[in-house]
Amino acid sequence: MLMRVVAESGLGLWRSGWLNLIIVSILMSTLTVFGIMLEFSVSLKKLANNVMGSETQFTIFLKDKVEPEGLIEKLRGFKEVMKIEVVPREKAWMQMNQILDLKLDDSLNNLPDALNVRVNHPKYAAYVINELHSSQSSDIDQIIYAPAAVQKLNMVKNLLILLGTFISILLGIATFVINFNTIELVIRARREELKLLSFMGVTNWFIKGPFVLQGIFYGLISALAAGFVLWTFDSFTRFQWHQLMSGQFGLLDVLWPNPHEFTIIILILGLVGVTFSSASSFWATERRLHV
Amino acid sequence: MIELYRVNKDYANGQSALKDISLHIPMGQMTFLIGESGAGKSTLLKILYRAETFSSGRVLVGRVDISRLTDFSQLRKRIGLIFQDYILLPHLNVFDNVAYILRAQGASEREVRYRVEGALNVVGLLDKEKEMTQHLSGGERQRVGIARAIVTNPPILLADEPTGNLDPVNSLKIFQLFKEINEKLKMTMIIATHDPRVNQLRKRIVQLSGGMVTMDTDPSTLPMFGSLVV
Repeated sequence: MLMRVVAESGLGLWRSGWLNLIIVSILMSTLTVFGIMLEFSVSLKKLANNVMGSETQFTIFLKDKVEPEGLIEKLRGFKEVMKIEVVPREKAWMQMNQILDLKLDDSLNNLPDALNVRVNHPKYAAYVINELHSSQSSDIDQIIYAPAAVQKLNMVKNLLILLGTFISILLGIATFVINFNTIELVIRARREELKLLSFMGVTNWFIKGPFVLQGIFYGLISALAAGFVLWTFDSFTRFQWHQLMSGQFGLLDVLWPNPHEFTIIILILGLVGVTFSSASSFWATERRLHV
Repeated sequence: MIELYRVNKDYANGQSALKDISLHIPMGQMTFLIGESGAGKSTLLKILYRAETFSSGRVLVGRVDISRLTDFSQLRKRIGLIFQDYILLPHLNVFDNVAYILRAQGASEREVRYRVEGALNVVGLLDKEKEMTQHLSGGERQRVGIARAIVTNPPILLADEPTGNLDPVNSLKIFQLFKEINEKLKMTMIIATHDPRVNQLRKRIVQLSGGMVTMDTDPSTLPMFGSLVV
């Protein structure tokens, strides 16, 4: 029985002809914009966290030949401090070489030992830093905290999300209306046939189901197409970036989603696409198909 | 069995389509509804399969009071419908047109083949099962419509002007086919028509005029070559 409903959906798609292409194109554009917005959001968040540190995190560079235990003990005295990570100079040297794609000799390592400190809330970071400064600890060489840069990045991220959401909503409405009208046109064209089915005792599910399935199909195809566009865009820009940097300086590689993040983005696009288009199809059948 | 008790159908503009109609159609009977256009024939048929509501009265189809139904699918499964303009699916061939309703009801392909071939055999179109319906003549298309109506073996068959688009020769053949189906399959049939020659079939004739029953003949009293001229 389900196969019959699926077959009916296929027939509906075949009969919709060029309208299918229009709907899929618009829905694909919507999802692509939405996808780019998601990618930027994820990338900027990663950039803020990985490169600049978050608003809740600061780094303490220790003076040369100072053991970190004393300072760790002091930091544990703050209830606002959530996590302390010790970064020995060897580890920092290795990470720097990796990020900057360098192969420098260890004998050149003049980096200090460091502590990455995370607090419960951004508002406590300044408080803890002030306390450390006022204690005039002889262990501390320098404290690095760049909330302004992180805040700016977050502001850009939020603006992008807002802009992307606005464009997505506009395109989403367009998709909804076009999909609704297409389904309505198909219903009008097949009115006699659908009435006949109803008069012959065919269940509502069999009559309305194919239209909703048609919507689900639009959503899936559009999400896949949007995923392909995003993948092409990512690959192209990443390639151009690497060309520009001559294969070095991979610091900003975090701007591009990794395979795991990309899969999640595609799944979100699929979910949004299917929900959007099947909802408009369902609404069209409820409003226009009285059986 | 179909029973109508004092059925009225009024439209919002105050016009009456049916006025105080009472009819009793026993199981297996073949009944012709005749009358000029606008007499109420189609409205009466539509009420029986709940494509139209009625304003007052009572309608029983197989002892079920249809005014109390909320889901019409069970009622409609018991009724085969035949239309003047056939309403065949142009993208399907003869076999698939007849099979469509069975498939929609979830019948297995084996059952579909068995039943469709049986129905096409009854209407004499077994050899044209693969033809597309637009390549058929009007009479053949209506036969496909009849096969589609009987393929589920419903106890009731309603036909609304089934020969309205056919020439006199084909019309008579279709009426003859209805008579054969009625005798073979024992279906209760109501056929709305304005073809006066139905009296030759010696079946019950109910005449409507202005939404009222103006004549209801007893088939046993009809002469062999009817004197009834409408």
